[in-house]
Amino acid sequence: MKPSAHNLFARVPGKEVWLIANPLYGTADLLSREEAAAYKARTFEDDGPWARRGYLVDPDEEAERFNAAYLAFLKEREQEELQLFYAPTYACELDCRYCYQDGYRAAEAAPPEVLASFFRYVDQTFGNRRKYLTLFGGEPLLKGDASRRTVARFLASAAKRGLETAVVTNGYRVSDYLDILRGARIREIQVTLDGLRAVHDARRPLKDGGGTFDRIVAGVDQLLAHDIPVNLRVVVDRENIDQLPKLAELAADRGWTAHAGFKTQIGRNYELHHCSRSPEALFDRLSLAAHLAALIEELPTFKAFHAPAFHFARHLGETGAMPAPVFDACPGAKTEWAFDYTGRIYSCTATVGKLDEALGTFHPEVRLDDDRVFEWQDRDVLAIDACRDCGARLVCGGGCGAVAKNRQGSLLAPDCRPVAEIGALGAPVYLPLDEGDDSKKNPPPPPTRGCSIK
Amino acid sequence: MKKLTRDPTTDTDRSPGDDRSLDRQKARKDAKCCAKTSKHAVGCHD
Repeated sequence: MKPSAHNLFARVPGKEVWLIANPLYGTADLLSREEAAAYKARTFEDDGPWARRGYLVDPDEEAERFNAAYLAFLKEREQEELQLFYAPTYACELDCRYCYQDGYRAAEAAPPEVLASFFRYVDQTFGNRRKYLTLFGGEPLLKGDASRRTVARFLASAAKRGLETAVVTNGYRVSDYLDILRGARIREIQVTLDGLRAVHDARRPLKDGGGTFDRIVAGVDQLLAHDIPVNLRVVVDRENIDQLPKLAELAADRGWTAHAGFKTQIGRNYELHHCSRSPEALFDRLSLAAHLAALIEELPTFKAFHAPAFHFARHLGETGAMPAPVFDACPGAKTEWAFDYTGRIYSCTATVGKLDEALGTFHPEVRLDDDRVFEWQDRDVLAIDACRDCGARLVCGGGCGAVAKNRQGSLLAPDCRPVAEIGALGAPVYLPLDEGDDSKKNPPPPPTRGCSIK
Repeated sequence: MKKLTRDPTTDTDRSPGDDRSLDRQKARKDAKCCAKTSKHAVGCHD
């Protein structure tokens, strides 16, 4: 018997409590100081609680369990719903401070044949798969009749096939499209607010410098009034993290939080394709999680606005079970594809529009680069050498392929996540901790600096 | 230890007919087969 290769072990910050979890065996426990010390000292008995809980294992049995779990993961993914993105343009009226697409060229609107080719490709390639569509960009809801016609045609073509559509928009012109959206099969509209008026408008202004906050807020009001689901995204860094409680208050005051169709996501401002203008403002994953945990400790009602996952911690607290092992966190070219108005096919939203990342075309002819597609589809924690001996791999899943490639030059590189530490940060939020010692509370880690994009 | 989950099952959940001796290489090979043909997603496992 030996310790499982998949044990996650971390101290709950500020508490005399340690969290141990094992995604392969589906177990999680809280440990006292003495138990944590025994674990670190490897003072195990082969037939004791460590073995019963799957933290001390027979390596052969573990290998068999790992293989079975891998097959189950693959089988389940074959049944997963696909998300197919379509970017009708890369143009946008906003000049967001952190836009990762700011170097993309925005050509003229595509001829109608491209949209017809897209739906033909969807029918022929993904005909029998469960799927939904997402309008992406650029900004899909632009000013003008040409854009309105394209969106209306897209939504009608989707509805004709019984497909739902989500829309990822800056939210500035939602009101102009309400008549079209009301009659469509909309799964959700994602809009972004980075804070109250002054902060939001400084981060997400129009290209002429004008504000966008008031129109976006009015758009969310109108969407929810028509029971169109809204996914409110907040992109955070150190310059607007203090806006989160204010946004929570705004959402509660306007009745958004109480609406069944309202949900939120917190996106981390990070470097994807190029270096940030303000790298000192960026959070790494752990420091953002630490800030969110501290915020919820101070303001528990914030969870009504947004309940962070802290990797496995929220799921564990809500269900009493660990999430299933994740052998691959990257959906690119597997359960996610992205298409654009130039007729090109890409792996995901992180690569769409980058010409050197195109995997093929659906217009004017269908052509896929099989070798490049295979590179994406081959990527998982078994294919990435650096993941092989990592205890976090069945929660981390190797991270984002596009980030790994941008930072390390290869899709078969990891985009690592500190899952044990983030899970432990979520423990006081979701798990039944005994009273602990708060006197040695860990401060948030220092900011990350410098750019890691190659 | 304060349990947050049930004890693990003594066996892994598998459907009848799953190959219990399946090794990682076989699993990888199956995955690659699926990947190679997935541009024609329908019929990948035919």
